[in-house]
Amino acid sequence: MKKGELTTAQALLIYNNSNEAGKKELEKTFGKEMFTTPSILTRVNSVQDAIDIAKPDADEMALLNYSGTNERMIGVKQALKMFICSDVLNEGKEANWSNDNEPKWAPWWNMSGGGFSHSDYVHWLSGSYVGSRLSFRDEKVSDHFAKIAKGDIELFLKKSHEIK
Amino acid sequence: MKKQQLDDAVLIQLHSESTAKGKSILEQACGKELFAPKPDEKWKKIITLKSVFAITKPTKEELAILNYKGTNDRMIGLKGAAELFHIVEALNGGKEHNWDNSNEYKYSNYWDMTSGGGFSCSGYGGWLSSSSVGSRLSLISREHAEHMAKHFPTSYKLFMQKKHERK
Repeated sequence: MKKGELTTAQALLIYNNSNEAGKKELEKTFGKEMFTTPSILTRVNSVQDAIDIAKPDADEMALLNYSGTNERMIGVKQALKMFICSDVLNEGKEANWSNDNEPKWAPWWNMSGGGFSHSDYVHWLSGSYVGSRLSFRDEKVSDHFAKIAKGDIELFLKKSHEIK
Repeated sequence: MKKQQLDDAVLIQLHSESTAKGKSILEQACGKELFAPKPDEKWKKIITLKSVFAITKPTKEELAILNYKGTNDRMIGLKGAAELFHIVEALNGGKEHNWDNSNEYKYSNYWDMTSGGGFSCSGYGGWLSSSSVGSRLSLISREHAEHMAKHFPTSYKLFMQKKHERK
């Protein structure tokens, strides 16, 4: 008998729409773990969660532990946190800037009024103000990043004296 | 010999468009001072990282990042970020942005990321009270933004492109 093939994505979709017997069949074929591992958005609820998953090296840890007042060093420390969040939340999916049908997402921030609020999203196809390291694979992931990292993003985009 | 008087503005223009020899003749004829950059245009002379660091004077801990020679690509991105922070600070000359002033534009550069475009600056954006790059990467004028894109594309490249994207 000719056998059909299912991609992982198709299997996940079918699993979520199956009865118990169907679920057991899929678990036998693909392994239970694939259907029980929580999504990255469930597992990462803070910048620290992302850092724990990324396992920074010694150079990065030294920067993450920086507690001085040099404003440019603070900017670099914050940039590292942003890079780590993007790497972890994108789960290894790299942006393809030559693909005009693939939007790359980044949150847009309102900087005025002493406040700091997520004002919008932007998506780019082949050009950017922020580049690969600060882009997200979809709007949902970009939104999650904006929610869990708001305080750290503010200190990346604003200098310390601008934060009220 | 008949002499022709020229306006200072014309002489300055001629100087900027001349070869080294032409510049030297003009400076001998009119005095070097006429062609020296005005105090508020000194930033135009900032065209290398060396000239940036002469102004911003990186600390020991910053030099460790700026001189990073390892292979961790996030650290390489941070080296690019650190360079950009220094460049912006030097070019802006200590002038801070006021995000509450909706008459004051803040400029940032927009880059073509496609491999076909080969990473090139394709313009700039001017924002009043919102941003995706913030104070640390915004310039105080369109001219400053264009100058930065023209002279420091490598720093943007390190910050914006991952290892497999850089060619």
